[in-house]
Amino acid sequence: MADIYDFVIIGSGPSGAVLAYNLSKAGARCLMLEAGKEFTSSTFPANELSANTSLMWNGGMDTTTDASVLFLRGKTLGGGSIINQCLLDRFDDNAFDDWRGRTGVDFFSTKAMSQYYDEVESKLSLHTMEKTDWNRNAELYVEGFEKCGMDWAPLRRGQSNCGEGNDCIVCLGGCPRESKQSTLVTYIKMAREHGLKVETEFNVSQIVHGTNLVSVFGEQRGSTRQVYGRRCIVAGGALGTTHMLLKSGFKDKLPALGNNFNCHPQFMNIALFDEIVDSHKGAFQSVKSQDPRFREQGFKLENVFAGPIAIALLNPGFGLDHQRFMQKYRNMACIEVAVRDATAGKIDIDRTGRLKIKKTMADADWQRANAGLQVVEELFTTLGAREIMKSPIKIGLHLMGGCTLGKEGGSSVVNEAFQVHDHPNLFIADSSIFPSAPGINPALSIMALAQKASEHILDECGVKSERTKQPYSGVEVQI
Amino acid sequence: MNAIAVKNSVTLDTLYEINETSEEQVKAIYDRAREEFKNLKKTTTKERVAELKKVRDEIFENREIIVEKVVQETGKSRTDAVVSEVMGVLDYADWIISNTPKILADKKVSTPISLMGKKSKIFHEALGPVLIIAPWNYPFNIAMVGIFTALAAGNTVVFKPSEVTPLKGLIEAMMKASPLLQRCVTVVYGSGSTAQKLIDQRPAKIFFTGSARTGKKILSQAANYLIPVELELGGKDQMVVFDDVNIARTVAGCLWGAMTNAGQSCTSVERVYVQQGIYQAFVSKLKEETAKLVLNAGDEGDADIGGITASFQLDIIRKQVDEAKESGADIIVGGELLSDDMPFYMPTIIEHASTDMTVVSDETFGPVITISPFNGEQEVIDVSNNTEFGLSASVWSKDLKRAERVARALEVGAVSINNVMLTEGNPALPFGGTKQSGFGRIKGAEGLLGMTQSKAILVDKQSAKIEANWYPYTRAKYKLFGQFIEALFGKGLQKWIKFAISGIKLESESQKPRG
Ligand SMILES: Cc1cc2nc3c(=O)[nH]c(=O)nc-3n(C[C@H](O)[C@H](O)[C@H](O)COP(=O)(O)OP(=O)(O)OC[C@H]3O[C@@H](n4cnc5c(N)ncnc54)[C@H](O)[C@@H]3O)c2cc1C
Repeated sequence: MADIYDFVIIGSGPSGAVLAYNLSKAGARCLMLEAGKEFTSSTFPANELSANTSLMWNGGMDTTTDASVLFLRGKTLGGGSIINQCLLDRFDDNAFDDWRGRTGVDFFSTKAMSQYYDEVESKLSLHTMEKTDWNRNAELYVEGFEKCGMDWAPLRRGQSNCGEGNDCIVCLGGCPRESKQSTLVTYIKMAREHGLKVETEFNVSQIVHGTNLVSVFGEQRGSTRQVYGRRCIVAGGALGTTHMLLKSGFKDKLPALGNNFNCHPQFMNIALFDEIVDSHKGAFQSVKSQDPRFREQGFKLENVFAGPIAIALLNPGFGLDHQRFMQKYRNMACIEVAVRDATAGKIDIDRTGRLKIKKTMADADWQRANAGLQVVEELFTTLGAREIMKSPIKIGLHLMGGCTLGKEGGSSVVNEAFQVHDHPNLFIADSSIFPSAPGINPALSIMALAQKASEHILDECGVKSERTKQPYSGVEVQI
Repeated sequence: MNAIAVKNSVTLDTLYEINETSEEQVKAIYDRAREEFKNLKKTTTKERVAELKKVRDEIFENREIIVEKVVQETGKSRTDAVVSEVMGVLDYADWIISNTPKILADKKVSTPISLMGKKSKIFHEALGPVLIIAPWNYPFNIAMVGIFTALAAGNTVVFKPSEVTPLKGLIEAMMKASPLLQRCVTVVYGSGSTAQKLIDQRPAKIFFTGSARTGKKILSQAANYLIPVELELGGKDQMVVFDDVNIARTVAGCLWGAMTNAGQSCTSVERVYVQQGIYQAFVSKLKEETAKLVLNAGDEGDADIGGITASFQLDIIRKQVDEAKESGADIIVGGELLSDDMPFYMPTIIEHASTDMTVVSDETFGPVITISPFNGEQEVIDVSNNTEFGLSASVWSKDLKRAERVARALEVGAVSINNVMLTEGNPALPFGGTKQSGFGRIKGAEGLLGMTQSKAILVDKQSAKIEANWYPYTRAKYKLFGQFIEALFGKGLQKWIKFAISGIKLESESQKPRG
């Protein structure tokens, strides 16, 4: 009945899992709460549609208020790491310098962070994609880059043993081989060995912060539930964490809550070739753009593809036309433009407490997007594509910000010790603390920041798990 | 001198220390209070309420500071603090400010015909320095209600807060808004031993709010000096629910009445009696809603139930519930501390508790209720009256006639019908108990008058006339008195004519000297 823990950790993605492991290992009683269900490698949903509905918030259909950007975010034990591609890159100087410039926070540097990157990388199995891993889509990508004189590089991915002859695209719906280094098979597994307790299908709706206690209120499988932590770590991701804080009324004291929302808007571009490309086969992402000119212009080109439902969504037509389009699924190659947001959006809630996300592309963002789209067109044309289709829909996979880290309460939500300003028992070290869009895959850096946060939290709080029943003191009632 | 550590009741960190007050200090305090009383006595009620208004405004301006300090020392949830300690005080202050001149105005009373030509009235006079001793559960509210009432009536005040929650300096700071009244209130810090010294200096009256045990001690000490005492003691309040109620609303009222201020109210619901027909439905709804209550303190207004302020009280709660459990009662919700190192007791519901268990016979003063079914009206009256206490109660029924019938039959000082703990929400209603819950009333006109003594005044004119009942007594006068009594109190026609005649005769007879 009296559920009280040293730490209640809300969210099980890259951030929550790393913190849960470090704190449990240090001897703290930790409880992890996750809104989604727990799956195992053998129970992950079998197809794309059921993956979307069982592994994502709102069936993968979160959008901005004007429906111009579609956000995908994980809702399952493991969070985004279950549905992501697990490309694990460190941030470069360019990204950290920008953060340091905005916040004045010194540890935002490749040097200061390298120790934490090292620590998390040592716990993960990393694989740099080799030429033998390439599918035809990757081959075309590299061919195009070389012909056009652009720099590319192999991707580094968190995977242990993918085996032979599988189509990695399915692992966006949960890796069936325990190879993809999701938190489920890495940090959560290790944390459980150190006593982490996990409760799934627990949707937190309110956090009540007190002097030395945090009450976490929510619903689990139709019933009201409450748990208590001496401290609470909110790791629900940019949207999840910001949403929980907004719903709990924290905006009063934290005026910057909800600001600085970025999402690396992505534009999928499909090119139809006469040949069979079979982009969905094999390793579905192997290479990336590494051209300094792109970085300067604020975009990245992704060698990527998607399942048939996502692809179908890209072409907004109906009927025969659409069917004809989808019949060419095997002839499709794909390069995506990922924009490094220049203009931040805003996360808010409406009167019923539902998320309200504003994220518009301003001129500066369109400039970046168009620069990228132009390059893609150049690449596909060079490769002899029969038809090029630019997506009208923008997708946001890297959801960041809302609870920015910074020194000062007026413009940020979390301080340098990852503590929410004015709320000493509440910590955040997930994607919501990003001060701006780095333009680089975020997951590894989220983990490195969570690693650093673990250090601060253990320093600050120590660990207190002794629980002995006190005798009655027997003091008489006085006036 | 022993220092007493005042603690943040949640973190248990020492906030500051207070010291017991010495006998010499106490004497000096009373000398001053008596001196100031002479000045205050000269003021009119209008002048005094104008000064009280300044203090009231100061409280209004400083409400966040008050909430902050109360929360620190009591560990209550922020909303509990703002509603009872700020809103409650302002509400009462406004009432006393606008009603005192009326209530304390000299009162004309009728004069009987036998005293024809004379006028009668009552002056409501201040008592002198009064001693107010307050508990730790509503440290600002009970302090200010007492102080405002005493000052409105024209008394000076010696106020002793609980050593658990002295709110050091807070009341003094609020009083500063009125230099006149500031001089009339002295806050004296210390524990029971200081209280004893304060009683020994013979205040004009003692107002004590707290436990029955301490109340008895105070009363016996005061008896030596014939100091009048008013006692607001504990309660074991019953909530009587008939089967024609809206269950959801009644359950919500039950939970608030039982859990507000973490049950540390003398008028908290502690015993719930629900009519058989809806008993099961009521209990299951109660369980469901209890699960939604959030414990915390130091919150931003979003926690429901705060901490238990005094560690000795926490022990009493634990002991009562643990004993009930051992004796066979069923703890259907809660029944334990959230954590041993924090003063949060889980909201607790107990079924099958019996009168031989302390959780039923004694005041619990925690977030704990016992619940049991009943069949008929008379049964629930008898069962729920079967307690030493008699502070307040609530009766819930759509049938208002029945509710009022039951309200009359309950041996308590206040009954809320279809609501809970609401009589104290109206400053115009008197507050106080029966049986072991004490006597005397605070609040309302009665409360204000309780801070005064009534002085009877009869006015006659200057003349040479000698009154009939004055000397000398003569046979003739004796006979005339006989006729006069016959006329005044007897039956029959022409009564008033006889009365007039005998009256005139008696009056003229009375002017004659003896012999
Ligand atoms: C399709 C896809 C591909 C991606 N590919 C890559 C990639 O290759 N490389 C990369 O670096 N990044 C990638 N990302 C992004 C990356 O996965 C996320 O940035 C990362 O998972 C964010 O980590 P987080 O810990 O901040 O939050 P999340 O991983 O989103 O975890 C938050 C968890 O909290 C839970 N939660 C939220 N609210 C509540 C609540 N109220 N109550 C209880 N639980 C709650 C959620 O259900 C979720 O499980 C990809 C994302 C997607 C969608």
